Amino acid sequence: MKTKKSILKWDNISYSIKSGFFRRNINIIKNINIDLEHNTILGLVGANGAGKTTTLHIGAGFIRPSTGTVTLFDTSISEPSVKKRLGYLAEIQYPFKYLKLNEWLVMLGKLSGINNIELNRRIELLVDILELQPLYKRGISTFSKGQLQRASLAQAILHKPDVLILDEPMSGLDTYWRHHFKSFLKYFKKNGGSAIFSSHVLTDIEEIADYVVFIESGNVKWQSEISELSDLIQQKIVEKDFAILS
Amino acid sequence: MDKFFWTKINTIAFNVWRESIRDKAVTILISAFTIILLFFHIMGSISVNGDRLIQTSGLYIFGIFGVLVNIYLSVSFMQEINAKRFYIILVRPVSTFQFLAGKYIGMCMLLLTLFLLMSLIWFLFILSNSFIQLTYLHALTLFFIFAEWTIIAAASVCFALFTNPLLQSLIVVSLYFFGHHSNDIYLYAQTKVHILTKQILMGLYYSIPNLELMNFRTIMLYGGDVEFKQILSALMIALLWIAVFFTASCTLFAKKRFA
Repeated sequence: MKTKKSILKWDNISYSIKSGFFRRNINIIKNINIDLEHNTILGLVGANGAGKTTTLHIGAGFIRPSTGTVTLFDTSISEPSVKKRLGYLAEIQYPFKYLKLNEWLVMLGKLSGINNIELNRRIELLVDILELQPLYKRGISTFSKGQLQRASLAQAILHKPDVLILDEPMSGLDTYWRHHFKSFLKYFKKNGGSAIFSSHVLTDIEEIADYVVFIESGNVKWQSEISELSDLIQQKIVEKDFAILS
Repeated sequence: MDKFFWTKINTIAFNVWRESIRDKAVTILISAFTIILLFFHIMGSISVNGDRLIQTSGLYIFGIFGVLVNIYLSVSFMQEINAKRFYIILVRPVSTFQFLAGKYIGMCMLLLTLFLLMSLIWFLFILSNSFIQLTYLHALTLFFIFAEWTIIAAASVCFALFTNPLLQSLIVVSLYFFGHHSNDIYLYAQTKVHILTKQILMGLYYSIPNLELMNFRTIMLYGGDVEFKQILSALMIALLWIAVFFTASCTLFAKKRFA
């Protein structure tokens, strides 16, 4: 694992928020170090409230960490220009209330800096692949969760990113689309892409990820290559952690 | 500079406008404005100096509706922040400045659309009254009412970043109220009040936009000349306050820690 080049790096990240009347400090993330390496799929696992989404939000540059830095291709994630190479899919989609799918995709494509000809070509292709044609001119607020998840995947890969951050990407998808999604991630990796995704489903992690990071109470409890995972299970090192997830 | 710098601002602005204009609330506001004007038109036709009543009521309704629309837009913006809907924009190569500029320009585009529609309705009511003659002062007064709307919009974007909807509404209404009584605050501070009270009042005077400097309603109604210097200073003050609130918004947004 360590022979590949690190492209998205969480370096000693801590994150705390102030809460309550006395503004007490609550530590959400504590000294996390994660390396997403080139052409790798990394699975982030952990129980509810472990800090997976916050870790991904920090990685995408939405939240400024209390300490530490996140770099994408050796550039700070707070630098807007580097985000051209990043795609993000949220767990819960909050669509724009009155926009139609075509308008939404055009808006997001333009914000990614794609020219009109290329943008139309990309949208046409993605709408076709993700079977979004019947929804193309419909208001996004009328979509079901699964449809919204597919539309959101379209926006995440619209600008051909090198890195994908996916927060529970398969939640809300039926078996057919789960299968397609896994195939897509494998194809993305085959074409040189890298991705980090969070999931509760161990079979998904085992099927897609090359590397797994287990988060508990804001800490990285352990991390391992998928190929070494069976050894860890046999040695009963990670057995209890998996019991929490399954 | 990014060659898509302005394209990104325009894209955000256009989509903010497009989203807001499709909201039924806009239609309701315009309808309410028309009904209220119609009411005052009928009242004016049976009153002495009814032409003034039609004009005054129209102009003050413009002010009140500006506050209402701004409250509505800023609460929508607040909901967008709380729902983290803006993440999908900021995960792209878009800076905080571009995002907020796009938001603000989009809001101003919606305000302009509403303002033009309302002005058209108001002019139709005025033209239906043969006693009223339109002068350049009508256009000037309307222009500065719109400037007032844009200042309140800039302030409401700024306050939306750290308040809740109720407090936000209160702040916007207070800003409008105290903004129009800024001169009274100054005059009161000049009287023999305690030094601490004086300092508080002067602090308040300087920290609130003086909206009265942009108020040409009285001159329009009772006649008189407006000096170019007066127009220029009102314009400069409007631009200055927009810049102040916009800079504060950018700073707050950059420092804000989203949970």
